[in-house]
Amino acid sequence: MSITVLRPGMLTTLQDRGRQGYQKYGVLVSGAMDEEALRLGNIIIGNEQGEAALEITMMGPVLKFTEDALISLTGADLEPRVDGNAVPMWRPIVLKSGSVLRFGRPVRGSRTYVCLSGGYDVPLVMGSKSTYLRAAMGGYQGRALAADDVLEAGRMSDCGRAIMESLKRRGNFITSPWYVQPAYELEQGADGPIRLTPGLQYRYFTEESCQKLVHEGFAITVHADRMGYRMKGSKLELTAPLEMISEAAVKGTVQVPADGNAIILMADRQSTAGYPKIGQVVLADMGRLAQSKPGEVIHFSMITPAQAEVLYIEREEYIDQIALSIQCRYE
Amino acid sequence: MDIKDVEALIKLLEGSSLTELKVRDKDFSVTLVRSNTSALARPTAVPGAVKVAGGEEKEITAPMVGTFYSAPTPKGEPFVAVGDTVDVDSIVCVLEAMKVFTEVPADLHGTITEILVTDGEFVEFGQPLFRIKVS
Amino acid sequence: MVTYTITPLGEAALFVSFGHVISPHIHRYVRILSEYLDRHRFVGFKECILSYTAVTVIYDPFFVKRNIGLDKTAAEIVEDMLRQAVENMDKKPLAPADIVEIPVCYGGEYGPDLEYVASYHDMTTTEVVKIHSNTEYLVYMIGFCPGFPYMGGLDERIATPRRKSPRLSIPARSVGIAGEQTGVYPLATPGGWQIIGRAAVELFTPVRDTPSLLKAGDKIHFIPIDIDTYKEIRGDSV
Repeated sequence: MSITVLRPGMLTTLQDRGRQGYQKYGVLVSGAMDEEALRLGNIIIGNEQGEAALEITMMGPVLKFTEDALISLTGADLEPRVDGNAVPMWRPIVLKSGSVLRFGRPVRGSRTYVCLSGGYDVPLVMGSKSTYLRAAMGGYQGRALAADDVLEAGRMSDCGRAIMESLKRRGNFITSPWYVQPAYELEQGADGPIRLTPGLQYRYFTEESCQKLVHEGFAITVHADRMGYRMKGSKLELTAPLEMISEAAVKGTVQVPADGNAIILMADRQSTAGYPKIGQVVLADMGRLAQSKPGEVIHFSMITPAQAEVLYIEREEYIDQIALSIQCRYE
Repeated sequence: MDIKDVEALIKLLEGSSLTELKVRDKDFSVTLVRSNTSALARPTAVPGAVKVAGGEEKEITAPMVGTFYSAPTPKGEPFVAVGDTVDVDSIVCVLEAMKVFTEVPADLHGTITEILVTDGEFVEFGQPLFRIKVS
Repeated sequence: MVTYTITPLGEAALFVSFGHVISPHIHRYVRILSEYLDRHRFVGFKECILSYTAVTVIYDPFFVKRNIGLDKTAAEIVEDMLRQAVENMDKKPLAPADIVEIPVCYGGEYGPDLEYVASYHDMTTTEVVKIHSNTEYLVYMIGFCPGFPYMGGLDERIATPRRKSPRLSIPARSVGIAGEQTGVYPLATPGGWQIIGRAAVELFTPVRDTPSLLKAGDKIHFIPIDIDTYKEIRGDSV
């Protein structure tokens, strides 16, 4: 089974959970911006959680499937359609041979994941299929998809085959009567503040700035991409100039250059950063943040690292439960 | 199996929503049937299109155990409201079990007259969820 | 006795800092801890990021807690482990630093700013090359882009400010000076460094075990070579 790219879309790249273990060589982690959507999308079609998927940004590609294929669509609602019919998200779907998958406008969120049962057959580069655009490595030939590209599918797992069989048996042939939801839709509300823990240099910022951080809104500017989201709002200021030497940066680091406008570091961030850090986005909220678009106004709230750890573990347990649930059903 | 085991089985049956319990041991077999339940007097729900006389009130029951939700997502519009007309294939609610949400089709054609459970309520297999005036 | 602090960097990383001054002495601790963690990978350990004076230990709280299961938070569990590792630091062996020789073709088309650096310091280009290549540099960390070394030890006699207008693209393997820093660009990238030469070897190849030519702790010698030798080493891929 292979997929032909008829139109590449705005920015479509293969991403898995990232290239882990090489940051001390300056190799970025990259990986899916909304990891939860990637993982759930894989689980429901019998893949390993961390299998690579196509990350589609805002304007989607046009993809043609050469044979019957079991896929799932998770993350943002970019109006996916096959032959004019709306395709449901967050559940396994069997597309018939020759189907053409298209996308419309971004209704909600900004990044959709097209997970394929069996995964995409591209070489692992340093243990990962994620695309590191700047270094032109990994994913599909180290770049975003272009017209006429052909993606080959990998081998489906037994679980994936069982899901596909069950859908075909139902006569329904298209999709299942069941679906999953990301935890960030179910808890607290998608409109809640993005939670932060204090950054390494939090105490060097003015009291006023720390207050503004959690009481005012900050808009995502147009300079928001896989490397980082540049924010705009009240200026965040240090009490006194700080001699900074380059330090480590992790996903969700909120750093503040001299102009006072925060930058939130995302999947393609460099591993070292030299600006003062006011906060860290809680990992459980990174998926929600990754789905936000330029122009949206974000509110923050501050919690402790211990509280953030509890949220992290709860999120992992949630995903684990879904994996177990699917396993029990189809194995 | 001795009398204590049978007592335990009776308690098990009483405490559940089951109507019948059959247990077989090496040289012993027992069948317990609940009496005086409306479940016995009524034919079990059969999915699929069934022709019935118009105007009859029926119930849409839960095809599995789970948590009842009236809308597809926490902020979504409910699938149906009282007064809505539904088809055999219309989705009326979802039941969540082990974090997976399963759509429940009406399996009947008619008008919703009453919603019998609330959002977030845990429901048993066979529990009535909606009252529907069949057409 | 080692002085250090351990601070959370979010809920999935701990920042172990040995001070605020860039010095080879503090850097030794960075290397010792990093090598120790690589050899004794605890359940849930993901990787370390090294910086001038600190080691950032990245882990998965879910796997840490699941494995140990105490009443403590994962952060507390990992912090305890790190304290134990650091307390025993002075007793830990450190392998002697690798000395890496990097052949560089200085000047000409590969070093368009060499003349400028020379004139800025009222020297000849030969003198600049001599000073640059006679120094032994310490690699403090790799960051900014794959394989890029943050090197210390540039002789202040040739320290030169960055270009006023950065170039849109600097060829890969360019050797440059920016203020008191010197380094080599592994990949083509925009930048404002004064480019004085080009290395004949790759600093980065995307392979599993040793993707980066250099690592934190290495000592670097630049070896001047002429353009013919450069072309010979590069072969087809000049």
